[in-house]
Amino acid sequence: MDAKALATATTACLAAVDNVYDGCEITSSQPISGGYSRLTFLYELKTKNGLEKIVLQYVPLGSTGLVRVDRTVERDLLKYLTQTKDVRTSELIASDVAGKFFDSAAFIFKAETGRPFLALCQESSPEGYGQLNSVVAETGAALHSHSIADLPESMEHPTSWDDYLTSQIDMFRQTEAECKTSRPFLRYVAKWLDENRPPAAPLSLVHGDFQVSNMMTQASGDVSVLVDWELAHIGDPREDLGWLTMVCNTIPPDILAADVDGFYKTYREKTGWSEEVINPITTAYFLIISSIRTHMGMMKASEALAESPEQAQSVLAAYYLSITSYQHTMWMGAIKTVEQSKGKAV
Amino acid sequence: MIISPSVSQILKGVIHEMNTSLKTGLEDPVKRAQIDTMIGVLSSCAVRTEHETDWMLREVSAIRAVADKFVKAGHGATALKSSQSDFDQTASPAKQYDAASNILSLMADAGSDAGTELSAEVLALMELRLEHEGYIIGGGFEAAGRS
Repeated sequence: MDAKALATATTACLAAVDNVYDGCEITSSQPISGGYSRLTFLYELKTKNGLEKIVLQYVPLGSTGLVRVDRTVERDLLKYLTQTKDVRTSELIASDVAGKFFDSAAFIFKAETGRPFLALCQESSPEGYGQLNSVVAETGAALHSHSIADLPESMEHPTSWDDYLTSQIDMFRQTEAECKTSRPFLRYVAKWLDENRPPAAPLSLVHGDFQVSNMMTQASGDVSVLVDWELAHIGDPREDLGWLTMVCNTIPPDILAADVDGFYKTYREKTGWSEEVINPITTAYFLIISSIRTHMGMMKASEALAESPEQAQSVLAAYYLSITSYQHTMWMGAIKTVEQSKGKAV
Repeated sequence: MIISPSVSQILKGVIHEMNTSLKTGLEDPVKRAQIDTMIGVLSSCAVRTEHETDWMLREVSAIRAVADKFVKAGHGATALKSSQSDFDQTASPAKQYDAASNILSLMADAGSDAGTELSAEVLALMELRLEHEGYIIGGGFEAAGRS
């Protein structure tokens, strides 16, 4: 769908959920950069109640998404999070999972009035990183402390932590088995993960793409809102800490590295979890686990590119090769961190 | 055929022009991110075209040497032994590399069961591969359009 068709579908979708949007008009439109597989627009609307800002997230038809996402699950979670108040997220106004108004899945949110958290980090002096770092720790702790009992039934609820971890390790082997040629990093890492299981943590809601770029500040500046829930699932909370660590390395400034001790202290205080469970070493283990879902998607995209180069988003599929190599670097670095903590020579 | 400038040099020239003429004055953050993504892909291709064959053959040789030690030490499963004995040294570098990657995966499966010495040799092979991948991505990685 082109920009004009998206705008038309957006107003029609909104009008179907609330008559305040009947006859509404888009007065301005601005693309927002971010996800590689989704298009995001900030629209200003003229409604019966006056001007309103909304955000459209749309997955283009045929998009090479990194992970095959069940949009029904995503919609159910977004609806749930909009109603619950202890995990802060953008308010979902409307969604179109069935493709009634759009040709593919789309979500429409109330625009946040605050600023991207990343912008605050980039504008901050190094002395301010500690304060920002503790906002991230508190945001993660609030998310992970939320009870999983009431989460939507459409989400997969693992039977136990052990079974869940085993299923994640199996994903490395499964990804490798589905590739046309052998991928030694996946086999090496799968074996290592199996031989070095960490202490268990309570299962929790996992954002799946927990990073500074997916945080917005509220007007007060010290409270943050999490956006982009497409990879959310029930799993080990340390997956989010591992992913955060990995992404902080690629998007400067690395506010986590600026005060590692402070981050873990705040996170442990807010969750009440012990240092044995929550520490940089267990995070290193879950840095590896946290990336397998996207890694699997990137492997599939690169295999498809090798099969048929003239496909949609072929540049993106080629770009994934660099991310794949970067993940290999991070995995081997994480292994080294864990091995060194056990006093093994590496 | 014309081999100078090399493919790598041509790609570097294209990257330079994308970074200057194409990006200068371009405000749309989505379009800028798309160009950054293309620059990332072309930069990797520039390194690969210059070194890929040498690096593949270097890894093949190192993997086969360690595989011999595995087999001699009796750690190799039947699959490893047959992969080693069936190895076709006359095949193209890419085919040899695929076969060697399979051998490396089989050795990786052994994990700590292979013993300290051989495990360390497998780790060194992984690090050699990592070193080459590191050169291809320019020694680090910065997400296009995110900074």
